[in-house]
Amino acid sequence: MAAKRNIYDVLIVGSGASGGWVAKEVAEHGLSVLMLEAGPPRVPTRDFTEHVWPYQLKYRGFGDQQRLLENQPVQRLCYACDEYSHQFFINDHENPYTFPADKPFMWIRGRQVGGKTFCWARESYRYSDNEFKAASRDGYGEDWPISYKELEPYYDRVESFIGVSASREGLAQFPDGQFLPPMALSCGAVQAQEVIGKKFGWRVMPDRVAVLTVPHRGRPACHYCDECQRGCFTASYFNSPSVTLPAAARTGKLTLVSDAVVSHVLMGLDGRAEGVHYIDRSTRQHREAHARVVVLAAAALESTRILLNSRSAQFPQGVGNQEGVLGHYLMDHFTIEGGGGLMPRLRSSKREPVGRPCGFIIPKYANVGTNRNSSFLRGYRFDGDGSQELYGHAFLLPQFGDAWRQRVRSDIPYYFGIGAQGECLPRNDNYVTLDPQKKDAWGIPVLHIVSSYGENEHAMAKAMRADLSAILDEMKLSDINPPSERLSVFGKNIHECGTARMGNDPKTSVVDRNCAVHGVRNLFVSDGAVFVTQGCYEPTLTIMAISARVGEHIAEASRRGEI
Amino acid sequence: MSMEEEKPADKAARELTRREWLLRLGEFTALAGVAGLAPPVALSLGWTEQQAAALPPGLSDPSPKHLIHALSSRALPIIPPGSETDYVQPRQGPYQPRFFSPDEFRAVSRIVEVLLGKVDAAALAESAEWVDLRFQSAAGVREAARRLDPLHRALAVAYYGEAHVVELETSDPQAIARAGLAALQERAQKLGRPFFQLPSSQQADLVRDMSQQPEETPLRRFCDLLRREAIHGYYTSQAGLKELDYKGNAYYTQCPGCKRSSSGFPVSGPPKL
Repeated sequence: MAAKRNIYDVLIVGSGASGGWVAKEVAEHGLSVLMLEAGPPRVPTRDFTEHVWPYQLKYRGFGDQQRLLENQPVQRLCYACDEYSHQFFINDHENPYTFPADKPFMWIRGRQVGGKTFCWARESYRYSDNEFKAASRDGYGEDWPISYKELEPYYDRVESFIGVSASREGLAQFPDGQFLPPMALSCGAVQAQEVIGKKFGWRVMPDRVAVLTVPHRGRPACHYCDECQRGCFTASYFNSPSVTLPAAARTGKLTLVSDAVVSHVLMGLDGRAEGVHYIDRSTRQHREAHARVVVLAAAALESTRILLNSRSAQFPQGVGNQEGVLGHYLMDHFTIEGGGGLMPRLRSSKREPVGRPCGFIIPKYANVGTNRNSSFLRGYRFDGDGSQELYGHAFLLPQFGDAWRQRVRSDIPYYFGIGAQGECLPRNDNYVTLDPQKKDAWGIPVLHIVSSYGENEHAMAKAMRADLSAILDEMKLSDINPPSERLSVFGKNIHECGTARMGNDPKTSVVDRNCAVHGVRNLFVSDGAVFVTQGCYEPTLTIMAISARVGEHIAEASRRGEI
Repeated sequence: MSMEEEKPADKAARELTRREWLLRLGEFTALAGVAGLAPPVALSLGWTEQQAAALPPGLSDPSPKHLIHALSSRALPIIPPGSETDYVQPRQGPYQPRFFSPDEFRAVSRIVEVLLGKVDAAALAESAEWVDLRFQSAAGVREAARRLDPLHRALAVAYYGEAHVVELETSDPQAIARAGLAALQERAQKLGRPFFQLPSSQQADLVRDMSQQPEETPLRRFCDLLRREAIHGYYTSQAGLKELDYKGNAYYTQCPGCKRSSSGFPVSGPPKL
């Protein structure tokens, strides 16, 4: 350790969607920033596989299944962790966690400069007061201490900077924003728009995605190669290493240290955060870094894990855990998947261009406005898409040889798929804690995660299935696959939120309305950990808006000498 | 870049003018398949190497370097040093089978040929090699599945269902291949020669016969597996994707969307370069 301490204004743990926005805001306000990232830097020309063809890979895109089972037995379950993109996901043996065998939790993680923003699905939706003030509406749980009006300017700021392509719909429960032109719809979605609109009165629209349909702030428009999760040479979708972090770096105020695995926050005797303790990922050397303000932006469960591991005489259960709330109210969206069928009218001999990096969405209608559903609280949305089969039909067509291949070529089925994603209620009995024995490759205690879906989720799933079946019927599909009987595995949707939730009351929450840990004025959490509810929409845009707000708050409080 | 350095790209610059309307649409995307154009166009869009050099490791701007790399990947991949990706390695000399004996591999290659029909020779060879790799790697996959930590197994069951996990732990393509090859050998011997030495019409008849055996017989199971993997191998080859007229992994200047009238009849696609 250096004899002379280098004290930064702000230390940020994590370089993904959240950390990038905090860094950009505080650096642009002139504060010095030290960012610690647990993983390595990625090099596009080495690590991106954007335009690689299956025949250029040893396993033709199917992956080295033995190696995936051995090194990434959890990560391999994520659709994006394949032969092209497995490098963006962690090694599960280096990064273990535990759960009760009857309550499996699927924890998908990316550790690198940019975190999971290389392989996120880019869907970007604003929450409304239907989410922020849900408790006031139905009496369950807690409201957020902030409202849509308070977060709206930060949504504007984030969308304007990263670029979100979307249609304006004028729905109160699904606020419009600063949009670039929307993506197009597939033919299947166009038919769905007609049929579903007529029969159910629901709006079918393109997903709102952080992908550029036109050049934006020096980044070229998408070229529609449709493999975003393999990395993007043109940076046409939002990822922090090409969008927010360069903006932070160009202020000259950002110091980025990669391969720095943070174990805990260093707390002073005065109850303030002084910095963090970290371990060099490769050399395993222990180090400390110091700053006037510490921000945890390591992704919901990692930030909470750092707080739980920050134990001292003053904080025997971890910082922010005086009331035993830290770790609780874990949420992840659940989905009902697998519904679909063939659209006979769209069967064709002509191949269509593919590459649209999004599908369609039908926003939430249950428990919106005057609608009150008596069987469950909160609500769900649908998403799906239609596309031609590539060669899946080849297995089903009988025979073989030239005539068979000719049919594969000229008789192309068109598949339509639709699923539903629902809100998970925040419950005290969904929680994370430290595993008493297990440690990761750097000797840091790991999480024990206890999660399951409750009565409300199961009641909602029943309604989702009924709606999905009605849609599939109305679409007049053939060869119908019914929607799954099972709810998705907890964690599978990678929208894990909560565990250090926001609130005005320190007895029921971990951070205050500015995301400062109750009682520790200079320690902040800016990622999904602070969510009070999560609605049924993807959380990343809201994480970014919250992070921009945290960054601005820190800059202003620092200017006023408050922290 | 000085004017002298730009000179060799004169032709490309003329191309550029011709394509200016496209640049307006998508700027970057107009460059597809014309790698030589990248530096002048990158300059015209205001990108410089200095800009990229100013960023710390791990951060990157959209840059000409990346663009050239992307465009060149349409040809044989240049394997980047330190990459974690399993690219196909360049091979010296003929293919050495990993699982099958040389004679068995000749037989398997011929069966794959009958199954696929008259296809591109390179794609056919790749398909047979893929089949060989699949059979060879199957044992390691099964063993890795059996060694899964109990928690990871519980998670896999929750994700896929019990049947899928049990299948992963018990499926034995190598045994299916051994039994299938033995049965095939027996049939061929009745015709007086090893399979790979039979006249091609008799080979085709035998493959047809294999495919019509009752399910769960050694010949049928082997044939079904070969067919499945030959399909995967062929339709992931360059010639196979071309035959399908696959229109992805491309560079489009507009979002590919529905271009059909309500009758489902295709009208036209977006411009592709």
